[in-house]
Amino acid sequence: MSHIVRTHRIENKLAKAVSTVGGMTVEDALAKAAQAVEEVRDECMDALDVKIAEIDAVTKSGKADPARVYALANEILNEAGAFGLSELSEAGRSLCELTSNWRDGASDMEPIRVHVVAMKSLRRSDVAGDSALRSAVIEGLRALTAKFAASGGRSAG
Amino acid sequence: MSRWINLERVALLTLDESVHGCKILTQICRGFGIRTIRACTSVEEARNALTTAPFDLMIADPGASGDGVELIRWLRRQEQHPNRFIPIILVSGHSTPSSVRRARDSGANFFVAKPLTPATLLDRILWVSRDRRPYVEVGKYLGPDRRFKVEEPPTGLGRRNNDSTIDQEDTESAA
Repeated sequence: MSHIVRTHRIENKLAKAVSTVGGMTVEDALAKAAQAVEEVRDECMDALDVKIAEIDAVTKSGKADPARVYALANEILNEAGAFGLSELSEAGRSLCELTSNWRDGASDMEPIRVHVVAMKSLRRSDVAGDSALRSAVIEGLRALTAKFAASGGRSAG
Repeated sequence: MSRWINLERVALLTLDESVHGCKILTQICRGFGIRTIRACTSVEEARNALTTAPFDLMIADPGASGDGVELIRWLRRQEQHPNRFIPIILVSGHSTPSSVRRARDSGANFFVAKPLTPATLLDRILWVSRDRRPYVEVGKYLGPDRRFKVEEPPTGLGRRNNDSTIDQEDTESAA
């Protein structure tokens, strides 16, 4: 089988833009970026709570759209992690794993409800301040998700 | 001695369908000193922005639907488009084997796993700014040459007898 290969040699405009004199040190850039992220921490924390509440509401309705739950869980993974909330981010990842296995039509609300309870607890100050407790929550979620994945997304009994 | 960088003149387009994900990404990039940032929260908004202004860099989350990947494939196929060959960094949270394959084949220059950290993102931006790989168009793929270590055709006496590959090299300069 033959393939026609076309090669395009392109000037990297980004290289030209980056190579101008001035600017700042890498250390300053990283410090300023971290500071800039902190400026939106409060609104992003509020948004995380809204996303958890939305997942809670759709599971209570019994009509959770797996794609929507997956998208919200993915946002929690991304946005909690950007603020150093590693366990909440991992809870989002666990829920992504769970719901990505659902796309064949299987759907059981119970493991989602467990994730919601775990996420809400991770947002509580008493749990957030206890690293051993946070780790235990995540270990429990991983075990739950692994069990459901092994059962094909249906009730693991 | 600290290394100096200057991203003030970089024109950046960001795409993240999550409003807050978009804010985090934008804030990080502002911290790096990038002044011109077009922050988009939908594929259509990004497509419109790409058709109306030149950019030096695009950072995109393909989204849970993966529509962002299609945007990149579309952009790479636009003949004479000023943004056709801009460096693109894909940033993505949870991924499945199929989404990784789609991202790999999209024509993006680099893939970064979320959650984002400023250190990782800056490292990747500087990496793509140094990237000298040509773009190759073969079959359905149009993107940077994925052979990292061998960037030029091997020198030799000619084609292997059974190699029917035809090289058509275009030398283009960015618009």
